[in-house]
Parts: sequence; structure tokens; C-alpha cells
Amino acid sequence: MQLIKKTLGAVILIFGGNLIAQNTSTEVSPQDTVKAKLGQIEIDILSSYYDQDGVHSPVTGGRGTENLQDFTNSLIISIPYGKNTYSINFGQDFITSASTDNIDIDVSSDSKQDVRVHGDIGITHKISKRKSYEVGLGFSSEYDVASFNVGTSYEVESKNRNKSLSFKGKVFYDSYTLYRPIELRNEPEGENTRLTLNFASTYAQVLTKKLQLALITEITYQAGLLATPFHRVYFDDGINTTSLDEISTIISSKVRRREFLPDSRIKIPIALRFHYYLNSTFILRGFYRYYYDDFGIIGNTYEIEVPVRFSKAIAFYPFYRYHTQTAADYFAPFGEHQLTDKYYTSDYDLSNFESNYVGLGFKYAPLFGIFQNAMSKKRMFKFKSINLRYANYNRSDGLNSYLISMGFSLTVF
Amino acid sequence: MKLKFTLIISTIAISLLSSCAAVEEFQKGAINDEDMKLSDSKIKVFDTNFQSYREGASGANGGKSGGGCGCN
Repeated sequence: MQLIKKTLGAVILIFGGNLIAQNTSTEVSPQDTVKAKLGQIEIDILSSYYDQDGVHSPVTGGRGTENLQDFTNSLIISIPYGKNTYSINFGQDFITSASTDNIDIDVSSDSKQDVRVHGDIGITHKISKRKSYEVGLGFSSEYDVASFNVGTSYEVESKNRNKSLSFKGKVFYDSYTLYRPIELRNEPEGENTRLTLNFASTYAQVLTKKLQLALITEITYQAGLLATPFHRVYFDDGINTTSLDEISTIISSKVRRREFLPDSRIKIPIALRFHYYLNSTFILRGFYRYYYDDFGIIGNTYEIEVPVRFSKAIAFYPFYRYHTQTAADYFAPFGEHQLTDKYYTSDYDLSNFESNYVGLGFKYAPLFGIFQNAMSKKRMFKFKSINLRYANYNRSDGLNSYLISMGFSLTVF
Repeated sequence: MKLKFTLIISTIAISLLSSCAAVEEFQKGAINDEDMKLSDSKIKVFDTNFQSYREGASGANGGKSGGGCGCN
């Protein structure tokens, strides 16, 4: 824990220094003040509704309802000013979960609902025509977790702009309030913080007049509390609970503990993205990802999206994604863990499964906007575009969900 | 298995990168198309966020890489 605090302190000092250095280096001369201009402000308003159901809730040990609804809103603003672009991202999630309602046995209690609020701010500074860097910080807050993050990135392009290389680093610090299953609240609390260090690099290259690709490599290290405190795990103790419902299972005498996982994890995803311009109507956007982590999960993800443009204003985006992963070494279904197991979880997000994600997007973006209006003698407001998306997601363990989202893009110029 | 995968990816990457000729700025009409951007649109990043919660494997797609619980 001491190590986590020291590491975080060092990182904040480095990024803090970076911010101060930026302030120093961007001290403007009177001449620059004249030159610095407010560019085109971009505003995106996004909303989505997500609905899922399944029968493997980790709150009741890998057996029970996973019914959940999530209504999400987000506002993203980007303001270019001189050599800097300031970005703000703020959002809210309203979650209703039948699964977390089973943390206690009081049906429709406080544990059924949650509100997550999150925000990020960032500054991208253009060092030259081909080089830029970004610094940013953010937070998120939900019923049982407060999270803070700081990050930085650097990007450089080749002279002919056919190649680019970027590096990105981000640090997250999460602090948990330990809400445990009602019958396990007398146990010691244990670790309640988590540190996540994330580093990513992206190499992008234009290969031909119609083809470009990007290779993305990422490494994430996590330390601290990696288990979810209110997930139950039921053990193989000879007691048969086949005929019991969720509440009866919770109050039964079957041996259970709260989920317990190692206190560190390394994740390494490597992805290849390739985009091919077929003609003015069709574009092929392909994505492949290989994933490895030291929990024992190996994943392969394939995705294809084909933008179809019927006119300059109207486009459809059909997409399909297939994902498969192996189970974590510490996963076992309800009642199958041995009492001698060192680590244990019955969370099916960490199980062996295949998933299919299929849907359709729609974009309406007329050349001169849906409408525009003069805000002043010098400034115009434009309602640029509307985006709609519908997607269906199903997992081979029986979890099914659908998602509807919409986005409005506005500009001030 | 891991070595085999690395070799395949490296071979494809090296052969692709070495075979390409420089594309001039005036030839980039198609490459500069908005739908050719080598990143996902904002709405796509936004609505695929749930995958980082529902799948043990995540990352390298411009989405969420850490922070918060997402344990509902």
C-alpha cells in the first residue's frame, strides 16, 4: 500500500511538473496574443440505453439474475485556441441492477441503483506541424468507488505524413468503500484501493492511396484490490441447492466467501487496425486484437465495420464483432470451487466464452449542417450531424443485451 | 503458440510496411476521408464501453483502460 501511495505521488509530481512546464513554455508574447485565435469549437452530446439479462450473477455466486439497465449521457467539448486544444468530457450513468440488489436480502433496496459521474479535462499542445503532446486528468465517482486519473501522450508524424507514432501513459487510483454481502460483513475488510498503470503505443502507416493500418500495443499493470467485494463464491461442500432460489441460496448454510483474487495483474493487448477505401460508397474497417493476461485469460477479437454512403449526407454503418476468451485460472461455476483454493471467483466475465456483437449505425450529416444560426457578427452555430446506433450482444454463457445510442454534433465557428 | 502468433504478425507487418510506396499529400483524397480515420468514432467508443466490463479481455481499442468499478 505504501508502495502504491509513493508511486502515485511520484506520478502526480511528474505530471504536475509537466503542466507547470507547459505553462512556462507557452508564456505568450504580445505578438503571439494577436496571432492566437479561437478555432472551431466542437460539441458532442451522447446518450445511450443499455439493457442486459442473464442467469450467472457473481453477486449470488454465479447463479441468479444479471438483469441490468444503464442510461448514460455524456458531453464532450473541444476548444482549439492557438496552439492548444482544450477538451472537456463530462458524463453520468444511471444504473438499475437486479443483481446488486442481492448484496443484501432486502428486495429493491439501495443496492439496486447506482449513479456514476465522471469527468476529464485535457490540453493538447501542438509543438510543431508534426509533433504534439497532451496532458489530462479526470475522475469518476459511484456509490462505492472514487477514481482519479492523470495521463499524458506524445505524437510525432513523418515529414510526408505517411507514418505516425504515438505514446500514451495513464495512471488510475481507485478507492473503494467495501460493501460486502450481508452475511459476510463480520470478516476483516482488507485492501480497499487499486492502482492501474497503463501504457500504450500506436504506429500508423499509409500503405497505399486507399489502404492504411495501425498497430496498437498496450500494457496495463494493476495492483491492490482486484476482486469485487460484494461478489459471493459458493464452495463444493456437499450441500445441494438446486431447488433454492436466489434469496434462499443466500440464507442457506452452504459455505461461501467473498470473491478473492491476486493483488496484481498484468494485461497485454495487441491490436491491428486496417482501413481500406473501396470506393466513394464503401469503406472496409477491420480490427483484430490478441489479448493476454497473467490471470490466465487469452482472448481473440475480430471486428468488421463497413460504412455505406448513399449520398454525401447519409451513411449507414453495419458492423459485426466476434470475441472469444479462455477462462481465468481462478474461475469456477457455482458450488465447484474447492475449500483449499487460494483464489476464487464465479464471475462469468472472467469465464471461457464466445460473444457476438452485431448492429447498425446511421449518420445524417449534410454538408452545410442540419441548421445553422448566427450567434453574433463573428460567430456561427451549426447543428452538424445526428448519429444513431443499435447493437445486440450475446455471450455463449446466456448473457444477452441490446444497446441504443444517439449522438448530436454541434460546432461553433 | 505465442511464438507462432508473434512470428505471423511480424511477417505480415514487415512485408506490408516494406512493400509500400510513399503516398503524396495530393493523392490522399481517400485516406483523408472521415470514415478512414484510424480510430473509432466518438459514438462507437461510447457505446462499446460496456465490453470492457462484460469481457475479461479488454484494451488496445481506444476505450476504457482502467478506473472505477463497473461491477454492476
